Amino acid sequence: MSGTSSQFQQLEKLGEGTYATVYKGKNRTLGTYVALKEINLDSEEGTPSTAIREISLMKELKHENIVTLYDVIHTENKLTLVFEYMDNDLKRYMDIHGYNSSGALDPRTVKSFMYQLLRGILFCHDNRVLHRDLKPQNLLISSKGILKLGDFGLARAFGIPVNTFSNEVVTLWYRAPDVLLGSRNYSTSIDMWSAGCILAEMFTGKPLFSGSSNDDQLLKIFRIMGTPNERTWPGVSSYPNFKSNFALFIPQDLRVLIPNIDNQALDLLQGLLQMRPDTRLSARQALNHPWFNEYNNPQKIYNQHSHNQQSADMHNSIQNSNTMAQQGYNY
Amino acid sequence: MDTKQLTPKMHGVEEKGPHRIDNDELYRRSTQYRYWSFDEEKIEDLRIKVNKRGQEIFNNRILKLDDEIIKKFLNNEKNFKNITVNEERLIIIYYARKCKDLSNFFKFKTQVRLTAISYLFKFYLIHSIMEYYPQQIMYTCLYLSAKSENNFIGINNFSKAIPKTTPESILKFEYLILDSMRFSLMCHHSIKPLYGFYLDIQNVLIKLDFNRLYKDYLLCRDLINESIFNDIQFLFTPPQIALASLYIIDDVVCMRYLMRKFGVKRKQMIIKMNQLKNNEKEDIKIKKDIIIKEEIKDSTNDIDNDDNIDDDDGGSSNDEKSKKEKKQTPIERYEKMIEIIKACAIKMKENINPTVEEAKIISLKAHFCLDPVKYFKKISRDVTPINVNTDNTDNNSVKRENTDDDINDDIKRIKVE
Repeated sequence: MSGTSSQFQQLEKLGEGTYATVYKGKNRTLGTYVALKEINLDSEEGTPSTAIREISLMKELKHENIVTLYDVIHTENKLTLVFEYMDNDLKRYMDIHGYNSSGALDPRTVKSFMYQLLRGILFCHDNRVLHRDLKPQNLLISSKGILKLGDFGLARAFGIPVNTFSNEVVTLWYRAPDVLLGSRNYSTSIDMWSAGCILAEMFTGKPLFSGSSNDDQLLKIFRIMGTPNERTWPGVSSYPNFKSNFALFIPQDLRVLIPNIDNQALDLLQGLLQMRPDTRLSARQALNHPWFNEYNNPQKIYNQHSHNQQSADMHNSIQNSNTMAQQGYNY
Repeated sequence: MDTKQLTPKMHGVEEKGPHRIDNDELYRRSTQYRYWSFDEEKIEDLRIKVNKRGQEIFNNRILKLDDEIIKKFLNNEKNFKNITVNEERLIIIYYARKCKDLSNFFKFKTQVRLTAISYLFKFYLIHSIMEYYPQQIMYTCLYLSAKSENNFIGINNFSKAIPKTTPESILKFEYLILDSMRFSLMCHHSIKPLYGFYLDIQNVLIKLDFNRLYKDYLLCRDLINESIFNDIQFLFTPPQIALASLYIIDDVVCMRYLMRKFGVKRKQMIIKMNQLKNNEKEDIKIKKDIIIKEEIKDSTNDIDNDDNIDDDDGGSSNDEKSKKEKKQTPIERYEKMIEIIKACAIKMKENINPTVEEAKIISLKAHFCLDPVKYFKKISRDVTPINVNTDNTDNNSVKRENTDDDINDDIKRIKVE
């Protein structure tokens, strides 16, 4: 880590992160692009602790489905994290590539993205890290159709026993019901709920539960998943935010909401969107779901030719992951 | 068939081909393993280099000074002996212990204390005390650790509680420390695997008296908390250290647990037990470098699986195990494990606790090296008559009063606490 800021030419602004501004940058010698996350050091506390934690985690998380931290550069009043550059985030990708501007992606793309998302999550969880803020804006997509988890500003390391965490995490729409109900003792299952929400959103192009407040978010979830009670979710009434007068809803058929979903994907979705955190699928279980047989099972090889650039790329990554499975990638 | 990787090479950065990521592999990917795992020779090497560099920096300082009196003073070996590698180590350990007290004063969680001390030791594998005095670095390490371990405290409150510091005096070393450690901030401590083993032993040795196990566990924790001042964090993995602590506290439980884990049969166990007793003396002589470099923790992490029970990785790790077993029989694997644990246990028992007297002498020498003009009077007055050398245990005759105000401050503080 011995970069200098003059090594990179700062280009356009890519976005505002939780505590930093992200710019596109160009490596002057190599001509390659990077994402420069600039953190202001004007704060009275020195380097913000969110930046410290993000650096700490990103130094450990080296995986093909997690965005790579190349370097940290220090200048007088700012710290710059140099990340690998990704062309899009999933949100923008859906806006651009979704059919009929609906944002919905074709099922094969959904499957490939979902598989990569779960691999990234599994690696985090295996490393005892919770992402805690999974949402389409934080999933980065390369032009080659590779998906990587980004923005670990809210991520946490966890161990056994699971600590109590603050419950003010995860953008509302992707927040698990147990967290919304006030659980402070959550674990890996909160990321799995977010993954479920993202899966549904990729199929429809619309957020599955778009609440405007904590209570509204719960209500939106109950409206579709059904209002939980002691019978469906033992212990639910002892959560801090549980109210005995919650509006009562019966579970809806998700297939009606997501008409283009196939049976196996629906089964996976239901496994991820379990109201009870203890019955929600783990990342490892989700990756072993039959929906991913074509990736996990080496026999099937896709050889059809595609004229569409996007699906050709998807085709590539599917085929490559077949190779991967043959090499004994095993969850 | 296309054999390209799933992920193409990005921006010229090579990525390793995909393969199964087991717990060992996860640890090997950690910065703790990649940056901070050494054998003893390597650590000694690093410390000698650091000391030499510190010495050069000091010599340059003196050269630039153009102060004949100081030069004359230094020319006489009886007046001043260079700071040794061991002295550097002692004063760092001294402040690491201070760090523990300070962390307790702030009521930080254990993790913060352990990480701060780890940062401090890492920093001084890169820098000499002749470059940066460990007291200030220790404060910044603790503050930084509180941030990275999620136990944040405002700089004003932090600084207010520590005499003779300002927010600026603490923050000014923050980047230096981050950079020296190459931003590898994540520390894996052995208290976590210890707890994991504590739980797992209850599942594996069901006939064991759990009160005994609980007592063992508490003693192991104390032992681990004490052993952070020696070098085991650089020499062994967290699960190895956890098991070594158990071996020291209750070797019977440790051995029985491992035998069960590795599938060593009862009969073999008894034979082995007898053999072990007979060979005790020979066993102690182990080539550390081979143990550490070769399959660093192989089996320890197999065991450290306990929070994944609900997942279906049981099948795959069994496959993995059976592959390994083709190479090594259970008893061989067990013996190897015990060998590592014994080597670790020996290191773990190394208890270095520098006295205030020792610390004062080194402190004065270090301050003199850092600021020769300011500390010349003090050092020439206080140490001229005697040959100062803390390696020499016979230092009770040395008269020292108010050689280091800062150290005295610390002591006062702790008495108050």
